[in-house]
Amino acid sequence: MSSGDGMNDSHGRHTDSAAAYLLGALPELESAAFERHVMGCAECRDQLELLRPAAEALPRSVEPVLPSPGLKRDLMRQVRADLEPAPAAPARPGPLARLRSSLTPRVGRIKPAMAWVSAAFLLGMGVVAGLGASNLIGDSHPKVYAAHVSPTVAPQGTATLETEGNNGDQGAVLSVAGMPTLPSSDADKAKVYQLWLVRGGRVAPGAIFSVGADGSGYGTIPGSIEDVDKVLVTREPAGGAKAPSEDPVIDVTLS
Amino acid sequence: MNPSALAQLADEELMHLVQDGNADAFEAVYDRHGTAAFSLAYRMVGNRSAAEDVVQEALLSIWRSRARFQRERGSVRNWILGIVHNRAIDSLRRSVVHDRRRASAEGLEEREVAPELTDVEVLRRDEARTVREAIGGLPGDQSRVIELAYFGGFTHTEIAEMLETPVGTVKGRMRLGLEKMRRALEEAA
Repeated sequence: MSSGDGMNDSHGRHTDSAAAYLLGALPELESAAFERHVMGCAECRDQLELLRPAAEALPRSVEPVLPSPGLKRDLMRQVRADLEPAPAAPARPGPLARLRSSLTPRVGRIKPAMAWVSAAFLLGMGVVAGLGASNLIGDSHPKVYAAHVSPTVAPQGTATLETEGNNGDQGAVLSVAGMPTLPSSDADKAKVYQLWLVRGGRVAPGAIFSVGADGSGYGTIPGSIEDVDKVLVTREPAGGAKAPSEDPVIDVTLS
Repeated sequence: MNPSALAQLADEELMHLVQDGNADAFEAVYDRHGTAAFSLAYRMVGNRSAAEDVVQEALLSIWRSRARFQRERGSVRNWILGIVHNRAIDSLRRSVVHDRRRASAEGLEEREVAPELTDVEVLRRDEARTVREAIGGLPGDQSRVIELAYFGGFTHTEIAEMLETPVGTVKGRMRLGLEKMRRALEEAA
């Protein structure tokens, strides 16, 4: 071992700590102590560099999952706000964005369940009522569309589609509530909800999603929906399908 | 510089612009690595809302401490994922209920995958498969401690208690597992 500054004495305590450190498995104080030790211990530094490529590969093993478009929107809103020298009058946000600000003071983002609450609130106010919400406040803000939910599949089911960006040029989020949970434990029988985008009579597969025990959940449409006529939802085998296998359980007409 | 021009830049060039306070460049960084960041957070914390909080906190901290990025210390992607990983661990350790389910991919209730894959995504899925094979090639006791630590956010002492195994053994399995993974990844490259 090649070490200095009295690190020989402490090396024994840090044997095999490099792997645990890289995996984030050292408690905070021990992690800080190891970092100090490494500065004077060549053996531990070598061990860190030897193992680092494997530890850094671990996140790459993860199945990709799409974040909601709202994550980027809210992140960039805060990033750009940081650059403003003084509070500037913001462009008037849409009604859901205003609700987001009031409902999520710390991070400025809405929780999925709250998204539905917000949408339901707006529905209750009659803001949507078959019209895009933007009709009331201008044409460059999110629109909310009410959906038809199959009463035989989900008697208590409700769903709303909220667009992102201008007229949905940055996608949309379908929030659902009161939907039945689908079987997930048996791989052969496991099912998911799947979105379908209808453009000019052509049906394209969208994202899959599940609902929680309370029947709420949401699916995102990351690309533009400006030319989408309908958004449909069906129940499909886990992993999704290339074509719908049943009549839609949720149907949102956009055009 | 317009978004399509920014999209052509290498990560390190984008970070140079980010360090100058260029929000558009930061947005391009998000577009490139946001899904990986979210996927990692989601894998660790197990639900969308918490994962989005983790990613938002991590990326805002990156933006606000952008001057600290040092290109010689590794890739932008690894740097971002490292910060997201640390934030996710913080989130897990803050949570009142220490949910063991989070360490298992099978436990995820929500999953949303892109139906259409770009070339880059195809490459990343190939890479993901290679890493999963490297993990899958480990003895079970080694892969278990690595997954519990990295994705579960458990400390070595918690894992030792969980598995009723001495802490030294747990740490040794972590080292042996990472060494073996590294060799497998080198052979696959």
